[in-house]
Amino acid sequence: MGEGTKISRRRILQLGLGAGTGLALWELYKLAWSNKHTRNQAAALLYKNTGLDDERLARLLAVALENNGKYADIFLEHSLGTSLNFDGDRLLHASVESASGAGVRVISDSNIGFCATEDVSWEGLAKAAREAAAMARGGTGARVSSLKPIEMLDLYPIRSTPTDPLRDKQEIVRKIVEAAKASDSAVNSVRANYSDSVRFITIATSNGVIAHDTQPMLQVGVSVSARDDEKGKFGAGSFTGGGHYGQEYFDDHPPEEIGKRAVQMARHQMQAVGAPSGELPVVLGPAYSGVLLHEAVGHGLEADFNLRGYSAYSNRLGEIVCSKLCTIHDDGRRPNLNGSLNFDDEGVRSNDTLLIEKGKLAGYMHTRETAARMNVAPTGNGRRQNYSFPPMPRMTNTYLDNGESTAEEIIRSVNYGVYAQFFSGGSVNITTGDFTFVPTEAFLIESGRITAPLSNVLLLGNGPQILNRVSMVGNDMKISDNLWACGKQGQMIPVTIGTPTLKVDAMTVGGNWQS
Amino acid sequence: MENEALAKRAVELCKQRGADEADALVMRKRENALQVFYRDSTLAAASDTTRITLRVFSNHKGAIISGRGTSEQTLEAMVAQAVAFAEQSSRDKFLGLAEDAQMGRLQDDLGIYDQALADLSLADMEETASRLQAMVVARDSRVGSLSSATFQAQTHEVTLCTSQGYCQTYKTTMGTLGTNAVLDNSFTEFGAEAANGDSGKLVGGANLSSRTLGGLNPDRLADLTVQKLAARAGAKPAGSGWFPVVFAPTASRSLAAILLQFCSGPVAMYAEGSYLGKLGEQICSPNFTLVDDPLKPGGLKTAPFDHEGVAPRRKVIIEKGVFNEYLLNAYYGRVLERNSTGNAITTDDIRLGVAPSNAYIEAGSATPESLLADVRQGFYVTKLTSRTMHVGANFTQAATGMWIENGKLTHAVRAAIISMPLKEMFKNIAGCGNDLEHDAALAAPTLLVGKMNLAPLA
Repeated sequence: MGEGTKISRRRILQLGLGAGTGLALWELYKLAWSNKHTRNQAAALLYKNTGLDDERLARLLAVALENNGKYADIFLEHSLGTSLNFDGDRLLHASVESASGAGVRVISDSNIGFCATEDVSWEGLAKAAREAAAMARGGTGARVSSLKPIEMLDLYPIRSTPTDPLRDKQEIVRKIVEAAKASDSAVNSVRANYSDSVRFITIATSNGVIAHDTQPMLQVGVSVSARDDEKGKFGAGSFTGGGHYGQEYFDDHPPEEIGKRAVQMARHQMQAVGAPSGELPVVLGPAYSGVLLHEAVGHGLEADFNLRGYSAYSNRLGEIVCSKLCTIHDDGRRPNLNGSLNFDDEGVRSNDTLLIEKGKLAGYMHTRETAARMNVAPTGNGRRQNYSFPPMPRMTNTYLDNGESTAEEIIRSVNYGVYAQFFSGGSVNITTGDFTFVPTEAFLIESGRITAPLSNVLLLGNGPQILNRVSMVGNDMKISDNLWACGKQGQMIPVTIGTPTLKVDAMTVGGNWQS
Repeated sequence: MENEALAKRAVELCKQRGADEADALVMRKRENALQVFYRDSTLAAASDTTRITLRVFSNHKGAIISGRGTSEQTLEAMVAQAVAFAEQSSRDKFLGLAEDAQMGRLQDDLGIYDQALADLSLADMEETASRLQAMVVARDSRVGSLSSATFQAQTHEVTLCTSQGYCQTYKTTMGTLGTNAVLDNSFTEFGAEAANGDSGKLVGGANLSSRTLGGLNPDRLADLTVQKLAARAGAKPAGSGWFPVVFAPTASRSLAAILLQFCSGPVAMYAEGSYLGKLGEQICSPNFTLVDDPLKPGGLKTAPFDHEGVAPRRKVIIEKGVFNEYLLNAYYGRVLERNSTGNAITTDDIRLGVAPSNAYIEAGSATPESLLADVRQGFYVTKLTSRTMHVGANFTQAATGMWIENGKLTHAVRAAIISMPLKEMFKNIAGCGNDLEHDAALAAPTLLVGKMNLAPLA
């Protein structure tokens, strides 16, 4: 690993203008990993290479409003990434992926028109703007305000970059694989993946915002399998880490620990006993149990569901909706996290949005559109998978504040129950609030102590009900260090979760298969 | 650049950069989508995207490239990087293009392209969606004020060209109508009860997909929507313990998906044979047959060739309970010393993935009513949601549906966790219904399974 070399703005311009947009994208991908000071310049440059500037973008927005729309925005995106897949430390295969395009959205009094195109020339964008305007079908109309840059956050500075990309990445993977193999003789297969990508974003809005961002993303994953032929036991474990980081990610997350973490999961599976069945006290471990907030509360607080009255939390602002021990935030400003953004996909600066304060419903997560319709300020939660989708209210990094109990006190308070530590995901019915969690590591609690690991266990509950049953909140809040992706209406986005240890007095536990 | 020109140019670039072999899959998708909210507003979206996936091979080493909206300069740079990656990767003797003799050609009358659907305007779509919404409301006026209807119309143009000179293109259309209806639980005629802490509303919807405009029947969808919503009202907890479980067709297809996953080449290769059993072994009850039919006329996954050009064919994956055939692509076929079955699907993996096409569980002879009739107390599952990730030994999944008492459906069940050893579950399929409808890419009839453990949401 080595520190990135600063490259002058002039050099970037030479690369971009001299070599054309295509080569510039590849070069800028490399530059984006090498020097924090050039990264936002890189995004700005990229859009200029397509023949655009602020004046032309303002003219495109005017075209979008020609049919009397009251708001328009343009989202330009170029992305490039590589992914290396290893079997052991052997490079199995690699992939390179890129995408370039734009989405134009027009909002009128009651309709929304959205057009996505991969033709980012003036002509292509003007055609998309006219189509979006026609779909929105006019209304009271508005004029384009003069475009001004927003005040930028700097949430993902890269401090450390590879000197030789392939060799350095291979070295990290080697450490992961060796640590995994060395930590348990039952390990019979280790596979690893190292991916990185850069998104160059430009957003212009008819109410006067112009913003450029360069978003790096690093992802490292390992999956192991282990078997004990004598006992006829099989186990599998996996871990995927990363976020908006350079290789400094591995300073705080040593590759060896990543490998050992996956093996620990496989080992627990080999030792696991059948899960109990029925309503039991459940202790949710720190960090990864944030999936509870995400499924049981988070989706229900996205403003689009509430605007239409679908959500279990609709029209309940100011009401007590859960245990007074719970204070929940969605904070898109936490440095480097998977869900963090300098600004959201509508050019709104990221925020720390208080959702629930001591049990009382404090706010929803908004896009510009839902905020306008509910007469509140946008919260920086307008997100989209990429340029080909319109934005929706989405979570960023959702976490629950610390309480006062220690984890030991919480576990000691349970005579017989379940301790769930690590999850692969979950799902929720927004309207009823019913949710399911899928723990990949869970244990029995017997007489106040964590005992045997459990296999094939599922947790089931109703969001509002379960959050009223939170009787103890730990003082050990942690943000999850693995990567989460959230799906909604066909769009996947990166998010992060966090929580301290929690005790839920009763939750449905299932998975018993031994009659 | 048109699909074929782009694909040929990409393959040429790979050869120029030193690749032995290459193939390029170009998929252009044009989509109009419309969501109409009741007497309120519309969200209209249009997109035109082209994705290219390019595989480069050199001395049985490979790398894969994918791009959308990618300029030729970027493509060149990506190809150069991919060839460099390929040179540094490990040799795998099974890597390479599919065999020439297996490549598929265009066929007439697959029923996968409808000009009327391709030409449909957004105004026509809005008229249909508004009409659909009015139909849902007309079925029962208590459903309406918050409801919406959606209409998606897609045209796909798929081209595959290889360095061996193969180059073929086919076109498809796909229309999807959808509803999202809201029922206020205070309307007592549905017998609905708000659960403690919920919104007092039920939201539900249904979808209908077809290759043709004529196959999209708003009337039928409106009926389905209201039936589904009414069936969920008045929910009470399920019983706790061991009960027979009947899977409605909407849930049976999830069981078929699990079986198809276990019968695929990658699982066979990495798991050293399926957990369920090996080829030739009895892995399900004798009344169970699972088929994959990629050339079914008008099928939602019908295509004249798969994503590496192989001509697909009909396969009986499980015949009368016996594991009869794998789903394979060229790579996994070579590993298992068999021919590809034409089930390759593009992924970011140079070996490509394996996926079923139009798969279905064959219909039995029993009516759904007769399958229910023998159940004194049990769970009728209409939808399966999250399940545990490691299903090797056990089936554990969250489900919603209805409670069965004395052979009749009595009340809705909001949620319960159902569990049973996986092998046991498939061997205990006691009955297959005669109600198979090919209304989805994965279709199934009603299935009756032996006793499973239920942990209900209280």
